[in-house]
Amino acid sequence: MFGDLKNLKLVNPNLKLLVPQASLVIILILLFVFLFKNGYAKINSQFEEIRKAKETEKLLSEKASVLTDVQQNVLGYTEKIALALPDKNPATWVISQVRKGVDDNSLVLSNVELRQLKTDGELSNMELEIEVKAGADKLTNILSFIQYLDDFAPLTRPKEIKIEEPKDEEITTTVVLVIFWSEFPTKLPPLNQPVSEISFNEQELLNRISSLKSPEFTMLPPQPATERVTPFD
Amino acid sequence: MPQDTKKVIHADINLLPQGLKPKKYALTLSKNLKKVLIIGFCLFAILATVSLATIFVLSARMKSSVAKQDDLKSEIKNLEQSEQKLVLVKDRLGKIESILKGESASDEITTLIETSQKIPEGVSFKKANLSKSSADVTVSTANSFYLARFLAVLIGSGSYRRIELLSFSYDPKVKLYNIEFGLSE
Repeated sequence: MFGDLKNLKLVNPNLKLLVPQASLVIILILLFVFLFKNGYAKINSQFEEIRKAKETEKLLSEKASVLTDVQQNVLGYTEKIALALPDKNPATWVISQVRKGVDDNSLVLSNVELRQLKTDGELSNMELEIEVKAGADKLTNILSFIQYLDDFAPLTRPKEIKIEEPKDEEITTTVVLVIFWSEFPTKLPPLNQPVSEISFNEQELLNRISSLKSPEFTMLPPQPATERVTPFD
Repeated sequence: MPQDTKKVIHADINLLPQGLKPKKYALTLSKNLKKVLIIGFCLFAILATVSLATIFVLSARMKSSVAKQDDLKSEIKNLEQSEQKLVLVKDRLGKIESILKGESASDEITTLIETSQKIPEGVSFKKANLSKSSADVTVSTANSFYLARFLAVLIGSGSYRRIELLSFSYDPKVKLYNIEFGLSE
């Protein structure tokens, strides 16, 4: 019995009372730290994820709406615009357009020369030199032909035009045109990359391009099979 | 023995030594700590519940957003052809714009056409040379009066930024004045 009393005296009664409670306070603090560290961080990261998800959702929704509108407004222009700036060298189309202009204005095409293949970034170009002759009284026709050169597809740019002094009642005109082409894009932008609508300036340019005179393509009608009398003919 | 008397005896008789009894300050502190612990645990329980509920609600919102995104993605996939065409149109427009902005004698064609329409009677067009930013036009006339009239028309039109007299000559064989102008609008 005295031994127990001795032990009891050794433990401070204040400590005996306060230590368990202080331990609980420490546990409570640790729990709060745990809650703050995990719960708050998790909620914060979820808010951030939702913000990003909403942004992506908005972007995708806008993209879908732009593509739906585009379907109605712009897509009719694709053929015209691909013809204005094709993916392959359009020299033959340009020559055919030049010939048409020459015929329409009663001129004579005396020389055609293609030269200098250049690649400037994604654009390739070539020079086409044409020489036309006309009677000395056909200056108006020549001017009309020159005006026509700026008005057809595929798109060309006049580099130099020289109307010479009439000789032997004949005017010689030399025109250097630059022909352009560029490969079509091969990749679509990533799904969550925004697409912009056609701007006012782009629409104006589209209208201008679509008003260019297109080359006339002759479609050969399909011919029915004919009977062969001699199979080796 | 009556009950009250028993209580009194219990209260009055304390066999433990006074040194084993906690001090007053410890008792007060213990009392306060108890209060703090109760409030703290209640607060913790509330915060934990609110956090769990928030996480649950946010997860549900996230799920619905992802589902909506998937729907939109499939809608965009269905519009892939339109996107291809739009990309093509945009690509061509950008390149055409750079071509049109480049150097050419396109504006000079307009200058030549407009000038040819202004040539008065008595003056005839002789030759022209158009290159980027310059339209050199040569006219001829038998009479300096017509020449003066032509110049007056050119200057009076106000449509030229530059009218430069490049050469002036007289050919006595054909009795014609030849005048070469450098014009730009």
